[in-house]
Amino acid sequence: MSEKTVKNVKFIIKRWDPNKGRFFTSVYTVPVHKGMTVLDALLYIKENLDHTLAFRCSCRMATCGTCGVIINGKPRLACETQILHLKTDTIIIEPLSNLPLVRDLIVDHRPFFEKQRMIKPYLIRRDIDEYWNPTREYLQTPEEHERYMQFSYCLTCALCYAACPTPATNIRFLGPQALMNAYRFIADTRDEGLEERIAVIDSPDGCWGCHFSGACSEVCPKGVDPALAIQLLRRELAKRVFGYVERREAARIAPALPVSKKKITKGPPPFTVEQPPKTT
Amino acid sequence: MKESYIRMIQYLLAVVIVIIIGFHLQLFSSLIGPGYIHALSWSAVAARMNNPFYDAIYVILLFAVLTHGFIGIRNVVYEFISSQTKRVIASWVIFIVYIILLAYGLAPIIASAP
Amino acid sequence: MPFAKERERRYKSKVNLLGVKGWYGSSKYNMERYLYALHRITGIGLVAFVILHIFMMSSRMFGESVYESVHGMLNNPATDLGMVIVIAALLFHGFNGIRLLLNEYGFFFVRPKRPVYPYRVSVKTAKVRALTILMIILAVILFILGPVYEYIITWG
Repeated sequence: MSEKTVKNVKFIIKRWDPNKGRFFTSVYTVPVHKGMTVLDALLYIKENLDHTLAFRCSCRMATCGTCGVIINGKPRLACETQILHLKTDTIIIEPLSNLPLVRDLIVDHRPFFEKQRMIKPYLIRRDIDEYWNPTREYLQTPEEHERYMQFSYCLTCALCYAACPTPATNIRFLGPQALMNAYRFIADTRDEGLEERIAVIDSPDGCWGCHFSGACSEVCPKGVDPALAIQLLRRELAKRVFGYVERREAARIAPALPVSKKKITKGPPPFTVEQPPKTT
Repeated sequence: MKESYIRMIQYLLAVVIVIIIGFHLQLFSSLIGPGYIHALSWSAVAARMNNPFYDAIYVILLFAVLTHGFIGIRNVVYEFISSQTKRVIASWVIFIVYIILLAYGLAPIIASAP
Repeated sequence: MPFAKERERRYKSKVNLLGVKGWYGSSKYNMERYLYALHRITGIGLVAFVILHIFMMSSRMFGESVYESVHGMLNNPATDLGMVIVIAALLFHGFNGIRLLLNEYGFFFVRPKRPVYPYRVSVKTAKVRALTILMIILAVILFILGPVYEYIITWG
């Protein structure tokens, strides 16, 4: 690498040993240049200092959500965190909290994905024929799209689940991502599935397990704001308690384009631009 | 009862408590200073209990605070227990303690009612 | 280009601001997370106090002598301190509860909008943060006007 080393930074990595069933710490010193991310440092350690270090990474550009770790106490994406912006000479890296540990910095995301499946993250509609044999798109205005668009940018990186204080004690809690995803579908005008999801959401492990600490929105790498979605979801549930059930018609499919019955007999109109001479 | 109904009851009672707690603490007199010991003496309490306004305040506040508080305790306990049967058992235990405390708190008010 | 400069200025100021406002939000998490933990602790403490208070006041129905002996236990200085702590816990729990009631049902909240960098955290938007600060200030003012004022008057 041709970049100039700015300083040496000490990395203290808390690793999980599955054979012994406990954490152990490894300390490395990494030369840091401007623009180096924590993921670059981890790869440097793996290539040059310690081949046994295990961690997950994939896109290295904050699009896949694979490399979530806890850096200096806060869950962050390793590929997105610049070492020099942390403004410290010691960086402590730990695996994500609230999820089962696999090895070193790797955690098992399966409980997180199972909870996401529990809220049925797909459009549910009553018109079965159109649903299974789609002919055309559903109509939706840009204003209706804005109601849930922000929450559809989620990467499912599980940083919010690690930052939330509730899953620390309640393992049945759905988590900010699942609840936000449920609101994303409930607020979608194309969806008619609120009744199907309500049993899972309206429980102490669903929407009411959230106590509005806002840590999920704080750590979200894409600015998706699960806290806002959950409070809006709570508002929907509260409206139902007072008997206000929103009866809106689901978005209908786009009307078919009219097919003209007239036969096209005329040719194209004459050219108005000068044509090159025909060479035949 | 559905969870959203229970939480809505807890939040509405919170509003009731916020409105009534000012009267109970008599915020604009010297009750919450060192003078509270004298305001709790037998004669002072007996004088207040003769007033039906204070009796009503006591009953409403007792019910509101106990219900709000024990729903909160139930929420905290639910977060530590994952098994559904254990949750139901804990919820019944909390309910029984709540009923006992409610009865124990209502007894002197009813006993000294005119 | 003006847009790059503006983005650089806003990002830089965000990083610097964390140092200045670190007193109420630690560098790790935001303030509301610690407010939630304190809300829980004060809630449990207040339930314990209410149970104690019910037992003490309900000794009235056993007659005046029983009540006086229970009431006489209040005369040591530890109960003064206990009362101040209970009032502080009550004020905090009450005002934080009002803030939670308003925010958890979506009042003062912002609408969802497209996430454009630098991202907006809804908890840190102006109206929501202003409500939080207002509740804290109201609680502190009432605490000063209540127990602190009374104790200063009687001791001073």
